[in-house]
Amino acid sequence: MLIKLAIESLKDRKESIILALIGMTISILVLFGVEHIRQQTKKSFVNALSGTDLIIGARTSNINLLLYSVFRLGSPTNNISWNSFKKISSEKEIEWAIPISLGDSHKSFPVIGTTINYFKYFKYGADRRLSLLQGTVFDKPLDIVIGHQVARKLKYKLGDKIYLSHGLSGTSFSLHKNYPFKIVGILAPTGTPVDRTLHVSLKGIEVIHRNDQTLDLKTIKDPDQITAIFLGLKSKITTFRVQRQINEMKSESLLAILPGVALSELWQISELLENSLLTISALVFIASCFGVAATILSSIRERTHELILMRTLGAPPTFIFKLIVVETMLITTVSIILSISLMYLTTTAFQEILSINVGVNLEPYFANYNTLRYAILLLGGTAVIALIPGYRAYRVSRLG
Amino acid sequence: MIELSDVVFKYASRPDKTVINISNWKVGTAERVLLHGPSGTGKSTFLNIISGFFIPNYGTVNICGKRLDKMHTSKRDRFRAENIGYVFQQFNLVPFLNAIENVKLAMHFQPSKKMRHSDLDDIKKLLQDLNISKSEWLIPSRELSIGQQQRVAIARAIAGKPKILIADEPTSALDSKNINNFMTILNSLVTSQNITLIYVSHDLNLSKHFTRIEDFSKVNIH
Repeated sequence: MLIKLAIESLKDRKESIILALIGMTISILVLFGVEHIRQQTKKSFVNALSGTDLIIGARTSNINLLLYSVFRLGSPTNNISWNSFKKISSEKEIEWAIPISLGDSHKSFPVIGTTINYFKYFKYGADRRLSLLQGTVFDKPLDIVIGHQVARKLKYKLGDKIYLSHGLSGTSFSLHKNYPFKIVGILAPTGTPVDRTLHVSLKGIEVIHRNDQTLDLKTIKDPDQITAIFLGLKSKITTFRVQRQINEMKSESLLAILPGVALSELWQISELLENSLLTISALVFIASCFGVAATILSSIRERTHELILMRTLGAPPTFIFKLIVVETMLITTVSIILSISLMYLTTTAFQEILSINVGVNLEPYFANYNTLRYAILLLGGTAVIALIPGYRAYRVSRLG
Repeated sequence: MIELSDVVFKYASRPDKTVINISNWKVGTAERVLLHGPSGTGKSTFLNIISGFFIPNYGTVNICGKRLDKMHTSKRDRFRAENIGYVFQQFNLVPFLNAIENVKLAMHFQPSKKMRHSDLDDIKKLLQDLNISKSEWLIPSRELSIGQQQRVAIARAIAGKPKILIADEPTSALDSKNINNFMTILNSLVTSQNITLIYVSHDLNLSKHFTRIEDFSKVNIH
């Protein structure tokens, strides 16, 4: 009877209640949205690289090296000489080494130069290797293998000829019209930055950089410099020793980092941002809680007769109190259900758009254990704030 | 049925002003009492005392053999739900509930009378007896006319089979045709169910419907 009465009473004040409900739903949506994006970014960062024991680059900060080498974010401060690469990769502890050359782009998508080791040893997610959806890996200097998103967004298919530009800008003028690259392979989707990357051989990078019309493609050499190296070790036990050796190399000042350690440093920074976002969304929720409380509170004056009538029928003041609290809680409950549905709908609808345009791999939102935890917190918060109109109604209905 | 002795009541906000001062007043079972008297003589306060909303500062209030002045608030709420029906001048119904829901709500607060399936039939019969046509049972009560609302209010007040029915100027918003209609139905129901009626009104034309006429200014010497 209590719940039914509360529902009927809310329905009777549709206009103001719907407005309060919308406010509440938006605030919960923001909260769930921030939480979802937080979890998803963490997941996509963690999934971007796996099985690589050390990343090597020129001296910079751990996080910077991680960001530019794995996530193609930011720019390298300096390069590594080809000699150092040869020296490091021939050490006895090393199982494999992938050289990476960054700094070029195609229509805003990054182009990296590498060797076929990249397709053999690079792993992401839960130890998954790259696989080709179509075609083969590159063989000749002008062969190019493109990521899944690049193919979809730019509608490229095998055999297409494309031009690469020197530099990272999307509208670079230094387009190399003389040497069109041919798409020989399209990678299967990974949900990592690889999807947004175009891969050429190191010789291919040389072609882009040496803007020379009389280039002989047969005699072109490997570049003098590369940007970063991904290393796989024979034994994990040697990780710290190899790292120290590289960091202390006399011939060139280099930095070797453990991806996991750098990632956790990144978390420390991003946690600050995440917590601020969560705090803001919590504040938005509290604000809308007070909004709902104000709506209910202002309705009590016009409902005085109704409340006193219930008392005359024999309803104890606690019934009136409970009625008002239940009404407030119902608004939050409906808002939570609406928010979960809206989150699911929007993440499902925008998954592809986000993935292609922003490169963010956002999975559809499902209510999970975390949602339940939040729902309980939200209902608890509402219950506390509902005490305000609840007590007011209790006082009104006490009469004398 | 109702017995008040040496009752004195003052509002907590005005401790210097005695609102009710009744030395002795009794009403027997199935009496129909018309209380009349000018405004401001404490009639509403008096009704709040016999229905257990207010506790007098002194004196005893004995309703159906129970001392209301000795009862705890929650017990009085239950007592009121069980034994007293109440019809106001207006605002008798929860506006967004329909006639049937309003009657059900009233019965909900009677712990000893659990809602049974047959009760719905009783409610429908009662509404029929009160000349509320079927088409008006399921529309929100605020959409009913005042006359209809007051008749539904009677149904709501007596559906739980109270021993006492208190009516506080229930016909003041009705026209003379509706007043007669209302009084006739009320009287027949009260009589057939042996309910004690306390009816407050300025309108002495109603006297013929009652077994006892009381001038409240003579009952309450304040």
